[in-house]
Amino acid sequence: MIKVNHVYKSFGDNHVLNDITAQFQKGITNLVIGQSGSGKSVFLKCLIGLFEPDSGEVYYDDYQYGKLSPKQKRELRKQMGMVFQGGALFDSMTVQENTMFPLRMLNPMSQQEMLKRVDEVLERVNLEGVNQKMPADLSGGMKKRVSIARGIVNYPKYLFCDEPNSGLDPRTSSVIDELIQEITKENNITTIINTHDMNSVFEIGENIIFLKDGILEWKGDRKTIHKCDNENLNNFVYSSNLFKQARKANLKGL
Amino acid sequence: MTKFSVLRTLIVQEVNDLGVRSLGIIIFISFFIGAVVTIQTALNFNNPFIEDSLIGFAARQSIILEFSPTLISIIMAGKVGSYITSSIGTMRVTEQIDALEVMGINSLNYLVFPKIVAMFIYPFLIAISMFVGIGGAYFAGVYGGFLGPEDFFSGLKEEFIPFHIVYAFIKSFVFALILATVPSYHGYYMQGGALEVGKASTTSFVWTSIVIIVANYIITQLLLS
Repeated sequence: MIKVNHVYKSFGDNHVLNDITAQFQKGITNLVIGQSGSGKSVFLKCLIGLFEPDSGEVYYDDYQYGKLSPKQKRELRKQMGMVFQGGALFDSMTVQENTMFPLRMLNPMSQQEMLKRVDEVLERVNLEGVNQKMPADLSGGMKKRVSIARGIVNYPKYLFCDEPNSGLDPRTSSVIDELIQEITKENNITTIINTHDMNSVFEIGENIIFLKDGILEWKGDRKTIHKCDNENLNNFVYSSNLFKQARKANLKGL
Repeated sequence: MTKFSVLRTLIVQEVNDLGVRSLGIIIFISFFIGAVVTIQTALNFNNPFIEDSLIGFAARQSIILEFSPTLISIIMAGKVGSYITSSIGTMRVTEQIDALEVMGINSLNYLVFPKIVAMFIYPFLIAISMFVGIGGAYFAGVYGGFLGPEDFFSGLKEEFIPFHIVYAFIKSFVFALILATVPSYHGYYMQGGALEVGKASTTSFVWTSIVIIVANYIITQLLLS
């Protein structure tokens, strides 16, 4: 579980996060939604320690992140997996080397054990036969899958995904969503996903927080989002006619 | 800390990327610089009272003291320095450095330390440059008809001070550290996108050259004056 208490973050006069308090349970897909520039990425970076909050606390289970020593922080980070928006795969390494990287750096496994684990996770993300390909030879969806494979290869307790389906076609996007949800449940990990993809919200949003201009405006899930009366959230979620009609139908009980 | 086995692999890779792959350009430039220095010296020594062997002497001194350590280092600031800045900078803008940090890996240690260690090979490259430069000087001097081989070798040995070689290697070692660290700094701490990577490479070249030239002055003042 990850808990956030009254987190603030500013860059100069730009107040990006204002008093964010939230809780993210393990075993379910936690979504952070909001428009571009709403503070989602900064929030995620505050959670994983790439940015230090100006004030407030971030708890990983029983540990307060800000009070950990640098060494303890590194140890905690070894239990994290991250899927970056652009994949952040290492250009000079093959798919196999990229996926094996956290094991090679952090785990005392033998080469054979590492290769076996890499094959397991690549199979899990439906990527087989691409072990020796370079990231430049992969499609956007494949890169995301390799990134997910790298994120889960070292058995993380916490998985963070920054817009995992941005730039992907709807079918691939849906496959990625399902994959993240399945992995979360299989391994009972705490997963936090940054997204502004409405399909993701309705498909895998088991716990959702909505940020607007750095303020947490709403908390709920994919079921309660239809009945929500927050104007900013409704403007964001139902910006397309398709979703507006879906909401009307949902409210009428159709 | 990065695992030793991983670190060893990284260092070998950097020795290849930064050192071995620079050997061609170093040999090419050193040979022609040696040749041109000799021709210029010979053309300016037109007084019949000046011995021909002085051409060999002047070539040796200029190649060992300045051209090989300093000029080659400034050229390396362009080649190796730009490579380091752009490769680390690209990793920064594509979030690969963030990925390292999130995994609990000390990115500075992983990216910069192997480069610093790999650059310990640099004084050896400068030694090769000195030999090739003197070879170029011999070729241009002797085959260009400016002096005989005996005069050239006699000049090479004339008033030879071994400490000059030590001085040149101390300089090379310091320049190697500069070549590894200044471009790494510009790559690691850059912000922005692809355009900024290009700008950072240019800035890195300028600053690396400036630091090398200033360090050259300070080392010379301390060791030779």
